[in-house]
Amino acid sequence: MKNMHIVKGVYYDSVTLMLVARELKQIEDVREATLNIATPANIAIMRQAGFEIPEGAHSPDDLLVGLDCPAERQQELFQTARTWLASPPWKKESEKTTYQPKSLDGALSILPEANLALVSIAGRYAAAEATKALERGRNVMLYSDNVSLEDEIRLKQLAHSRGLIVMGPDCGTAVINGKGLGFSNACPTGPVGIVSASGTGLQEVMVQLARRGIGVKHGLGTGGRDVKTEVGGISFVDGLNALARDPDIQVLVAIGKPPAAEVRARILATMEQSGKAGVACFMGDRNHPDAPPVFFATQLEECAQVVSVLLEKGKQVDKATVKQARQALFGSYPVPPPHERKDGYLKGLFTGGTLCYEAQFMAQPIVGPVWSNAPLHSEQKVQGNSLSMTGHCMVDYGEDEFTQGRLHPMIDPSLRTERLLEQLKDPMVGVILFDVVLGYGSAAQPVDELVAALQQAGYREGSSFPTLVCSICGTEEDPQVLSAQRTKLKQAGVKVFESNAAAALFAALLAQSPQGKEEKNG
Amino acid sequence: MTQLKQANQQAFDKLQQARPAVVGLGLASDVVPGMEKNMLLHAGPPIEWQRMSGPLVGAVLGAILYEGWAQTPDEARAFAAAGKVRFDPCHHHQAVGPMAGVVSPSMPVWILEDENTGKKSFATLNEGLGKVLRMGAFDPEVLQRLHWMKDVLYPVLRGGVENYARQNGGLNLKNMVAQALHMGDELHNRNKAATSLMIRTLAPFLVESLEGSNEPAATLTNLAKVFAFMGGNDHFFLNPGMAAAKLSLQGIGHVEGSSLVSVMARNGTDFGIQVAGLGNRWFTCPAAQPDVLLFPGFTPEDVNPDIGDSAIMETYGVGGFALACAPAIVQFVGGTPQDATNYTLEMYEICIGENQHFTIPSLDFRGTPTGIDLVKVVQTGITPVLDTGAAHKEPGKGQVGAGIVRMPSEAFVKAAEAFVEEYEA
Amino acid sequence: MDSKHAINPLDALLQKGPVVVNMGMESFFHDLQAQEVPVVHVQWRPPLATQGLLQKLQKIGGESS
Repeated sequence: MKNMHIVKGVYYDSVTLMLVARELKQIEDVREATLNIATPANIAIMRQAGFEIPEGAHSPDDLLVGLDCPAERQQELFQTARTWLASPPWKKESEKTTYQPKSLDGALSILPEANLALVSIAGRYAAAEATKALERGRNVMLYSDNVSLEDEIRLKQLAHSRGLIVMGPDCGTAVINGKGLGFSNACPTGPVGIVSASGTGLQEVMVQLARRGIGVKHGLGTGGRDVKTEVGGISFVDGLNALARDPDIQVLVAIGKPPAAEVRARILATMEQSGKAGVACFMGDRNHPDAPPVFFATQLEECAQVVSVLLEKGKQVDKATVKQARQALFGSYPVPPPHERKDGYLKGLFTGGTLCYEAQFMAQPIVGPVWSNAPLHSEQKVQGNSLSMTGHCMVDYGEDEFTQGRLHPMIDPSLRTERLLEQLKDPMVGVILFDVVLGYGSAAQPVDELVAALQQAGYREGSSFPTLVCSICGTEEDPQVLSAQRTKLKQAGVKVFESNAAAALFAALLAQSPQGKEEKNG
Repeated sequence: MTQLKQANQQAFDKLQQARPAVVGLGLASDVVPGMEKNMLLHAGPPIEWQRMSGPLVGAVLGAILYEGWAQTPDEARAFAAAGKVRFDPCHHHQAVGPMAGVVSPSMPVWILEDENTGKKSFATLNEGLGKVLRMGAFDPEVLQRLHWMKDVLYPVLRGGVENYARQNGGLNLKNMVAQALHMGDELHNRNKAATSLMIRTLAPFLVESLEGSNEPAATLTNLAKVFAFMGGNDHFFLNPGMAAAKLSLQGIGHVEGSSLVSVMARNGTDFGIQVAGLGNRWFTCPAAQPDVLLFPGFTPEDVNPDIGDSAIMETYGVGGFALACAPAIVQFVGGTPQDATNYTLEMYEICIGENQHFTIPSLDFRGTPTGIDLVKVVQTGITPVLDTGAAHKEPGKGQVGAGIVRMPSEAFVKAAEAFVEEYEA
Repeated sequence: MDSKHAINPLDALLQKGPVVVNMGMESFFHDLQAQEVPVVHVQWRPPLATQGLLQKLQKIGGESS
């Protein structure tokens, strides 16, 4: 029986509502549980789902709790929902009691030494809170997206005028003095300083440096729009200058998609004048000749490789040595033997946006145009529903169309897993490529559901199933433990590679020239 | 300091300077300003007969019968429906009343005076628990008690209070509140210590006042009954406590540019607030539906919307705002002592300052959060919490529960809009 | 900047390491605690008024109250 309960005059954030709904659905008698703030949109959605909601004014002060369960358990389970909202079962006892402030000022009166506000509230409110934090002399990491360009510019100008930084909007990762903020991996600290317009880009480079025994002291995020003309790279340049001033840092790294021309010039000038060696990794860029002390990369692992050479040989290293190091890396990437090649399309399913981008960049020269919901070129944008994939296709499941009312796939990969399993059954598919991102913020068990489903489906390497190829962005010290995840995947028959670039290359080579299969759409 | 901060500091300081004291008792028609022959005062913002909820309807019927304006409940109902009663908020007459808060001309009231400004405030005597007028009960037992209160309690108490005042000046309620907070009271839902302090203070003067009294009711037997009555009512202090709060907040007067909330009140249908920088304008919205721990036998469907002028205690900086002083209350309202403390900590986030006289032992004697700032409420989304009783929606069925009730936001938004309109340029 | 010798707050952040006020996703708070970063979590809720009204209130309040 579907019944709807209203609680008046309460506020709970959307993540809490989703988590309580998830807990309720674990109860055997509960077929559906949905908790929503009473906005017109949510009311419409719940009515469509078969819940009766009385006509009349509902305010955002109201919480709608929809339960599909036996009639005699409705009241009891509604009370359970109330209890869990007020006192979440996944919370530690001590947390339930300590006072948690309800405003920024309340927080600052409890922790006046705070020097950073990490803001991940809904975008339409985030700018105002970020402004307050800056006005109170605190730096801001703005994880929230849906912040307007005007607000971003205003915030960054304000920050700049006060010697502060705004990391974001849409900044998912930062590392300061070895401590990770947002999604980050447990990596060593060391003489590298990074400024990145991309979250998973920063993660992948840090992981690749860690594999080479190289630590990062600071990794500052700027959000994706910082390097556009309108914003002018304010955070990027302020960040680079701050890293340049840090005596512990020997190599500066800049990561992002190719910036606007004048911003690129400012970034490179800043790096040149820093007195330190630098690596500019503009992903998917055309090749630029190295200009010591600044060197270039267009891929993430390549970036780590160049950093490694610079640290080993010093910033006066000659270009030829660096070129050699690159070649050594590319030469080391595994190449599939011809008999492993598959008829069928290459499908990529990603949780990290930059990893999806890099994979397209790696695959395109080999398999031709790749469709995507976040494509290299706009003509390759997937038409209509992103979920209907045509030809070679790679989807970023962290994009907006997949995250409405859903947790980010790095936190909850179940949607990506579901889609991946569908691809497994598609006879037109030859190779499936995916990423697994470990670290703080990411799911505790990122691959268990997938591995169990593969086992159930009877998946085996070398069978008529599509070949599964993946890379794991993670370290041994991450909560999920790199080797543990690698083992699970390998045992399930998945080919696991040590970097996103290596995995993408291998997958593309596997899918090269699909014989006998005409591309039906474009 | 900005103008807003300055104005709020000024209002806050005025509030701190008030020194409310009980100076006597009198009949409403004699002492309450603007009280008319056919007038009934009530809790909360203005409301018409047609919109009144059960407890208020019942209290009105009871008051009409008490005054003798009608002989039966049906007659009383017809009397009210015919528009023969003038209704007005207690707040418009420098008075306050808990729950239905009905004051009729022949009811005895406390008289308080602010030793700082000389201004006055008034409140009726608390009837006790169970079937009482303020919960909307109006059967003969209720009326009998009201008459006893007028005929016996009032003259005896008055004699004692006046005797005290002659010798000591007014009964200092501010000190009593401050002490009671250190004894486990929060002064809204828990008044046991304050009540005890009041009785202890007045006792010798009550006894003494019998001697040479011309008042026929002033007998030893009646005195014993008066002591029993007061001693048996843990909330006896609530009414004069509310009047003390009202007097102190009233004393702020109009402060240009101040966003301090000077009144919060409910009439069982509407919730209303006033703001120091916006004069006596009411900003109202539907009252909250109390979601509280219910006594056995009652269900959520039985609960009346929030009612009473007792929100003045939180406006004053005690009650729900001082929950950290009253860990024992959690047995009554559910939760843990830490929950009680957390409510107080939350209220600091929407207040102008910390009380200079009312302090919290468990927080290192930090002053209670005092002076609700309308602007902070609207900016943070935190509305005040009250620690209050909940009434049955049908008249005369009494209290059904007690606990923490969060005030609705709409009234604050309306007040903020008016504040901006007033002070924008 | 108050004085020439006062350290730039961004540099101070990088030198000292983060001391964080977390507003929004509670998982970030837990992850920071796990790394022994001093952090307080704000149980944030939306303001009651529209942006327009808030901005006007802010103007009346002068510098943010």
